[in-house]
Amino acid sequence: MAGLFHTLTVGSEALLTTRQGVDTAGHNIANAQVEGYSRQTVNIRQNDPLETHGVLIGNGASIASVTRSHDQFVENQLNATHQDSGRAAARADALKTIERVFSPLLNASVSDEVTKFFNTIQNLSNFPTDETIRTTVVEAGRDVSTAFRRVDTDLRDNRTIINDRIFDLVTNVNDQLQEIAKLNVKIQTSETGMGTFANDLRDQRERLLREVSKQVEIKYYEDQYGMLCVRGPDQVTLVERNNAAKFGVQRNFDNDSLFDVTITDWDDHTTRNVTRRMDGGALEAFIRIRDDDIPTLLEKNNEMAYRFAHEVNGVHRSGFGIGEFSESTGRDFFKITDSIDNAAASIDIEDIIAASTHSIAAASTALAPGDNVNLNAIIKLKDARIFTKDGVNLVEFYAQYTANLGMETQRADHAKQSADILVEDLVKRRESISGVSLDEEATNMMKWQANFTASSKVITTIDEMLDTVLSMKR
Amino acid sequence: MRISERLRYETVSNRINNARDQNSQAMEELASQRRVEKLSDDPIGASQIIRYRDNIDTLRQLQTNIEYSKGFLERSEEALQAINNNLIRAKELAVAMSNDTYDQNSRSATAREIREILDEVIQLGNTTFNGRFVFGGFRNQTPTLSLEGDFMGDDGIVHLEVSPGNFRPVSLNGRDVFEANPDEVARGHFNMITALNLLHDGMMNNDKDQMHKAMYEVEFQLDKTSSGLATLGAMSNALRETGNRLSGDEIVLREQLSKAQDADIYHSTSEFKRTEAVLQGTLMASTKLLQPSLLNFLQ
Repeated sequence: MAGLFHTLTVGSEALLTTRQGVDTAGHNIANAQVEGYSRQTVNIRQNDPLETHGVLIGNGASIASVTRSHDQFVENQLNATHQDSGRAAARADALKTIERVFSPLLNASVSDEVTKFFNTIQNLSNFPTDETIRTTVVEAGRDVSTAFRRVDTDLRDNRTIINDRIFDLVTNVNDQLQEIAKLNVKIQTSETGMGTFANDLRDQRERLLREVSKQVEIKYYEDQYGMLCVRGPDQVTLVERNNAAKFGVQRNFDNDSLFDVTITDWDDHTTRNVTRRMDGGALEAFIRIRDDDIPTLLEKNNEMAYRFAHEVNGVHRSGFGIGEFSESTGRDFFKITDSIDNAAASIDIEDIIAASTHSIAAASTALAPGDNVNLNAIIKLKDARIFTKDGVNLVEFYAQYTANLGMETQRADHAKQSADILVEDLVKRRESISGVSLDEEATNMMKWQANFTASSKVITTIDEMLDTVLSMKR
Repeated sequence: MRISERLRYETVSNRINNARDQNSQAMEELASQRRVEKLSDDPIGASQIIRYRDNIDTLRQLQTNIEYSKGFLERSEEALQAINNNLIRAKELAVAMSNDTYDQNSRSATAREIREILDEVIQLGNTTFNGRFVFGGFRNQTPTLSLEGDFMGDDGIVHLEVSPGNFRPVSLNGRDVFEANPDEVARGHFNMITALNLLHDGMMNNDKDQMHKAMYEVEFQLDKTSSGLATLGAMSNALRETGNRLSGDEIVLREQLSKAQDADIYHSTSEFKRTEAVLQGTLMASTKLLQPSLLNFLQ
């Protein structure tokens, strides 16, 4: 009865395969909303025919493989685009936070306070001996110093925040690289010898790779064992087989103790400093903002504070005060460092001015309470082109460098928007290739269920035929 | 193109997000009435705003300067005018007394009036405005003329910025009014106080020569005070003109600032309505998109 049992086998194998079909449909439906999931398809193939009684008869079907719908090219393109979009998004968001330091909605911006300061000096030039007005001059001097210091502090705070984010990002990426290395092993173990694809594991590995590509610059390829080899900034190997290198941070004392980014290989033998050797990913954006954009702004603020204070001091020194100071000169109005570095953080009014308003040097001659010539000289500084390199005055200098920041931010925002559009487009393509459609799966389930019912009918038929045969001999 | 589940939901979610984002931006602009809230909204506009604000603040300050000087100049003019009038009276008396119809007694009596005129002139020389002696130059906290009429001020002329970059004098040189400069001394002149004193003594001593000499000097001083008055008048006029021009300039600048900084209310309202309509449409369309799949129709 080889024939009947053969058919039974065919039937029962069919039950297996159709049940697998429903299984896969169910798996697809369960993962329909999972990001990065590639829908799986059961590939059923005809079995090789058997030769019986000089005839080749069919041998049913069996599962050849379960494959996933996946386009490696789209995947690669997507990862490459993620490098740009990760970088653009990080840059745009960071700059948007920084530009708030110079918001035009503020009433007490640096340029507002500088104008107010000169206006109090104008008032004083009308009434050089008036105590109340002298007090307002001191207050205005304090306010302008506070404004400079606030900009300096806010910029530094932003820089510290970005520094911390670099650390977080690096920690994150390390975890992901470790996972990728582990998955390498799992995938290889699952796939060797069996010739099957470890679909779900591959999906997971790709998901991790996508995350990493948003954050750091990477290039990757798959070796002959199915293991992913990932290279990072400066061509340093990040993942090779089951080994993952580690990103680390190191304080750089030449850079205000901010972090330098290093990569240490898995044997802890060599550490490479890759801080300035990146080309893509959010990490590069953060480093550029922290080490290029913010220091430029700090410099501009320092330069403005430095020149402002030194010019005012220069004129103030040659003037006379009133009362007990009506015969002495040589006083500075502002306290400030001798060098431009840290000028903005240090600016304040001199103690002697704070202690007595009589010390404000309004006059150009001694014992002349109505003399406002020195004040007029200070007033002239407001429109003087004291920034000789650019040939501009104080307010113009401020307007120019803040406008530059605005344009940089605008540019970064546009770059982010374009990158986002590219990414969206590629994601759509990926989804249309690999995504799950419930309509499709519903159809598949109906198909497999019908098949299952039909196959079970085969078995019941054989069963009845067996009964018939067995009942031939009683 | 195949549409997968995730794609459907992602697309819907993205579209709704975009519509909401645009709507909230339009609402921001409508509520704040400002076009430029952050530098990146309009970097060139933002730097214009900085410049306009600075210019407007400066113009306002300059107008304040002009206001402060007005009172000072007025008081100076009044005082100098009164001195002028006094000198005219002194000259009249001198002319009359040099007529031989008057005798020693009349002259002595007139001398007393001259003395009163002299004291008056010294008091006028010490006129103050808001605690400052108007003829004292930079030494304006102490009396300009001593009891004997000696000039104790200095040559300082107060300058103020009255239009951008323009510093104008707003006081008269007191020394010029009450003392003879070397040039005048070389030509034999002296100051008005000495002239009045000389006139007084001449009348007391019945000395016609002295009286004549004093009279010529008083005439010369009259010329000086007249030209001083003309200078003060010119200063006042110039300041008034400048003040008018500045307030005109301020209006123009405020307009420009508003154009750069404020939102056009019609534009922002219609943007808001438009984005609202887009949002509503997107939400409605999304519900239709999300619902049916084949499973709804399988029994």
